[in-house]
Amino acid sequence: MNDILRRALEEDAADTPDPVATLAGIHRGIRRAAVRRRLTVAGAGVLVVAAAAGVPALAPRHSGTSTLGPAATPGGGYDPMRVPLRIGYIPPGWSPLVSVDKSIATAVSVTLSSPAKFQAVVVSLSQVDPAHPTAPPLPAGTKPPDNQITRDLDPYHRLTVYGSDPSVDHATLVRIADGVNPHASTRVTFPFRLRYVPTKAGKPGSVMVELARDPAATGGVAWQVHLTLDPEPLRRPGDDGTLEIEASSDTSGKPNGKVEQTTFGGHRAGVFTGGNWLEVILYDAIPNHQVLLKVPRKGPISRAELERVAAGIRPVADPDNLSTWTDPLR
Amino acid sequence: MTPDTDRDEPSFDEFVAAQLPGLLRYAAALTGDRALAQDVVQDALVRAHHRWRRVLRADRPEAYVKRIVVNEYLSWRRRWHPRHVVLPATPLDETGLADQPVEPDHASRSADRADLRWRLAQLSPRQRAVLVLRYFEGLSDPEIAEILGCTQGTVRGYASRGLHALRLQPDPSDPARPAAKPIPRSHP
Repeated sequence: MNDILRRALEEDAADTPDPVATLAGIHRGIRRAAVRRRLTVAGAGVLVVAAAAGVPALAPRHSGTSTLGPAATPGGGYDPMRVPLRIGYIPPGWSPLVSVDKSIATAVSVTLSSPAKFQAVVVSLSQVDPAHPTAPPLPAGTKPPDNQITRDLDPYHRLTVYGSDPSVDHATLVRIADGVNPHASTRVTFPFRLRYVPTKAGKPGSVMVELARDPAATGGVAWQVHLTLDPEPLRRPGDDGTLEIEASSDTSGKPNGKVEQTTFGGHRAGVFTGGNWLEVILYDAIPNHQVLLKVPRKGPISRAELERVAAGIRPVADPDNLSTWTDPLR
Repeated sequence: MTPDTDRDEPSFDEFVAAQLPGLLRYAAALTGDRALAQDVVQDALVRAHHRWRRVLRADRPEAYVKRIVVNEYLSWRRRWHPRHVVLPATPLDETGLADQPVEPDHASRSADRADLRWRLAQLSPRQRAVLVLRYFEGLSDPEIAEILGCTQGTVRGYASRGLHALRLQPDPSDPARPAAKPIPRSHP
């Protein structure tokens, strides 16, 4: 019987990705990481930027390209709580989910999903080190692939709109690219504020905000936010931080394993202490939503300190109204 | 691209050249999605490059990198992926084919596998990871527990729920079944 399972897994395994393309991606990632390290040494501070997506209906339209201000040049410093672009056009019926690339500090990406394909289009604004570009510049007169639009906005910034879905036509990509406003930076906002964060938790290492324009298409999930604090901001999103805080309108998530139902920081909570993590789900810190706090069991944040973090969560008046969201760390 | 290493140790490039096909195959089984598999392997190897010395210090560097791959797959950043994957297959029992002949012909066996792959795609990432590690990689539950950073009981729970979702039963003769006696903990 389990032979059937093995064969099914073998069939999935047989559909392997292209090793050449994968190798190119590995090299690209290593170069980006090297650039990121150099930028940090130059005083860029906290570099890892994921992004929030602007609400399309509110985003200003923009056409043409121009240079960015010197404050956005390499070495000038990234603020991980700032997204340096807005997307002004999203095809009708598209993008039930606007998510953010897990990508690294040299680029901020917003991903658009069509009803048929998750991450159908990736819009990224790369911060390019001219000496070590993340991708070689196209020779003059060269036409980029039909599924990609690349525009150098200035010597340091490159806009790329990439269609991963073959059904996305070139005109749509052009229109999306035209709608990108690289001047309209937006602050990352969350549906809550943290009144207490232990100093030793570090700084924001990664931020991620996912918004679903059509919650029905995402199983009723309207939004999800995630913040990782870490004394080593070079770590990538997804690496172990000292403190992770996640909130979601998805209330189905739970830690893996036996959960102790208790009170934590004054909230109804489920606490899981198995494995290498202390994970706490707060059921009522944000009404009708769920907050997950996670720290390494052997990390610098004690359970008592985590309780103080939990006690200090202050939701905005209407968590499902994006206009009420706020800076979580202010 | 290659970090400094001792002369007898494989360089990162040599390691990638030797291991990449196997890692891609592993990731493809793990994810069931070619694009995601590529993404996961790329990110895992970038991370391995960053900590190459630590990788080399491991007893089995390839196993260490596989751990990075599975952890990358299970990381929170990818949690939403399964919700957006549209799979065209139709479950077998919804087609009426499940009531067909007891001796399956080639077509019905293919349909069975398509059905099973569809069900595999519906599993949670952790359930799928446990089943892949157990039945594709042939690892024992203690080994899986170590990789996933959880208890053996949790592994068995994931496996049980995964198999139930697949409508399969554990095979008594399966060598990858959990040990009859629990392994003593090093700390009481």
